[in-house]
Amino acid sequence: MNPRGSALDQAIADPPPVTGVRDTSPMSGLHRRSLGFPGLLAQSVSAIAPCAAAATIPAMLVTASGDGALWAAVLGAGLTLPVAAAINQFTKRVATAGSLYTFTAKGLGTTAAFLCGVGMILGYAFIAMYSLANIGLQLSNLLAALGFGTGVLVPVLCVLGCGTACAVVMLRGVRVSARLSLLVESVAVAVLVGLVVVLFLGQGRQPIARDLLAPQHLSFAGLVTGVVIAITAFVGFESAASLSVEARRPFAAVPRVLIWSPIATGVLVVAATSVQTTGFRAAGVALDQDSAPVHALSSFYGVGWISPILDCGVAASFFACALASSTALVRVLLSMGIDGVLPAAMSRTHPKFRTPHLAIGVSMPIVTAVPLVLLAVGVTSKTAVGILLVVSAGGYVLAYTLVCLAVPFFLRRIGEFTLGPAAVALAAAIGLAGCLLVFLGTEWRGPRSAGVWLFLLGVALGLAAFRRARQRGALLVGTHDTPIGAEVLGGAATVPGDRGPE
Amino acid sequence: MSTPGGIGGRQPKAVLSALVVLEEVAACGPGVSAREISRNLAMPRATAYRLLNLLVQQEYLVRTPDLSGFALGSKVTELAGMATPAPLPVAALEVLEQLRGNIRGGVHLAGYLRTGTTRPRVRILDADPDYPIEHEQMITSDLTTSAIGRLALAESDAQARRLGYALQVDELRPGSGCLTVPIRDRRGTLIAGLTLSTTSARLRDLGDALGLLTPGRERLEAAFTDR
Repeated sequence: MNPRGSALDQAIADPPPVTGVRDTSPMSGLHRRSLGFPGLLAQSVSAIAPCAAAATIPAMLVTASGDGALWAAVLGAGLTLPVAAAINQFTKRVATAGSLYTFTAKGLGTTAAFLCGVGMILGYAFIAMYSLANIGLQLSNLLAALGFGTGVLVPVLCVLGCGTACAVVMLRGVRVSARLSLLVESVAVAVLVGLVVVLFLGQGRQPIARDLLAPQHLSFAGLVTGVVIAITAFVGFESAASLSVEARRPFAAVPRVLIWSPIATGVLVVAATSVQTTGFRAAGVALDQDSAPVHALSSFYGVGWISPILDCGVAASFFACALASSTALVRVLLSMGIDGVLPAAMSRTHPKFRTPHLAIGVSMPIVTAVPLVLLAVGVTSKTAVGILLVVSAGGYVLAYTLVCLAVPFFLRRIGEFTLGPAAVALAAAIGLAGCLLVFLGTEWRGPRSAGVWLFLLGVALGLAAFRRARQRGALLVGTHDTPIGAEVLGGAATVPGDRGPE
Repeated sequence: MSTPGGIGGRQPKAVLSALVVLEEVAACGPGVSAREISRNLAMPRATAYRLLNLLVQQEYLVRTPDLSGFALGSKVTELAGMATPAPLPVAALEVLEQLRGNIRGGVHLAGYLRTGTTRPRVRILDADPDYPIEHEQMITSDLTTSAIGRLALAESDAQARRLGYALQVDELRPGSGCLTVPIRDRRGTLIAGLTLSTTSARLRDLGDALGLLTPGRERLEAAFTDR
């Protein structure tokens, strides 16, 4: 050993072992360090489902906010970015399958973490159900338009098929599902961008109606509801965090995905909202009566032929969304199983495919059955399906609020507190909390009040289950993916025993 | 990180600062906290935290399991140009244990790097605890003196390679010698050598000695390729 060598040379020549590091990590059952940046991007983008969002959200924004639709879209996009920045305070430091649930545990402790986990489960599960229901509805509309009648058998079978396909793809491995979602979503987005461009060109001299830029009659509650609906266009952007264990360089790749996917989606959604809302006025589309307002738009502008192609794109986008949301859902369940909050069976992974097979087996039947039943009994109005979206939106916003709140406490706990990130996170948390309360209040008085009740019921059930789990013993919540011996210079401090799956 | 895609040439200070931080983590030892780093280097806290996060993202540093300390990642050895030996697969250790239980004599496992070139490198992966290797320095520096080294040199010599083993009898210590058989990966590259170190008398019956090692060699090849 050269005494004049630098400390780095000496450390490399004679590395001191690092305590607390083992040969395996608590999440070694997953396929660690296998997924590249495109796979992560595919996961977040698919969970957002930009094509489906940009095709369906503008109509909802007009219904909720009237003239304020464009501003609701802009504000919604604007609120998502600080949330992404706040979540990135975690993603650049912690890799875990539990995503926001584990992050909240690091900052706010067990109860808040569980509440966040319940929010995520409701968010992911119900948006997967919403997506599958929409696929069935698209098919029904297509069949009806083609003159094949309004039977329920084909759509029901289609939803069953999609649910099964999702489960199989998820089981086979995260790279398969990532590649499939990326392919599907890219095609769908290309079609939508084509439509937006066509509409924009067709609108000629006055692309954005002046009323949209400076709305005259605007209700605060309507605007806030619109903002929350706009946020539902972006939810799912954080789902790349649940793949951070399987990502190759998680602390570099995941934060980048989490910032860029809402930016790209934001541009698309704002552009789509702008051209569609302007178009709705010009074409005189009655949004509350028309079930497919975008079709009316495309025929008005002379590109009616694009409608079936767009429908296929939207259906494909919904499928990718169901797949990506379920992928994230089962990893949150896995993480809760590892923590002991859910039964340990949830933490098991398939020995060959390295995916959470038991969590998939428990959750996918439920996620498929609900839309199936809705379609089968014919409860398929916009309101009924919209209830699913309300529950999901409530769950997501609750989870985001809690994780943003956890940021300052986490930074202080690890000794890296700086004012900037903490202030941004706190502001985002307050904004989200306010939006959530106004949103729940408005929806409660509206036709989709069942959604609010379902959401509150879900949260209550979750807390009850949590209390029961706590009574069974102390819970160590917030398990994350720790570095393994091979990744650390000194190696594991303990004598290497069975290396286990890596 | 203001420049997307990495540090530009106009930010040499950032590169130097990152290396200084790395050096400081090495000096303080594993588990040093971010605040200690910023204090020791008299660096503003935000800068220190940003550099530490950058190094963690590129995996030159890792965070300790409690998230509040840092340690050097195994990737820094790439900075030093040296590959750290990866730990042996469990199956390989089991094979070695079994062989040592059945054979009277030292059973060692050597690893090879850069075989087939003019300067192959040898290191001892696992030595038999009951039969310590006497001339380890000589074996790794002068490859012609031992069977272990000769097997690596044989890779460049087609005739010697066809032999399928390397032998050294009575040259290092009278009355004893060693026999090394090759362990190859899927592509046929020599990655390790299974060595029997015993008396010269036993080695004169070459077929017998090879027969002792062959089943172990096959299982070790399987263990290494399964990895």
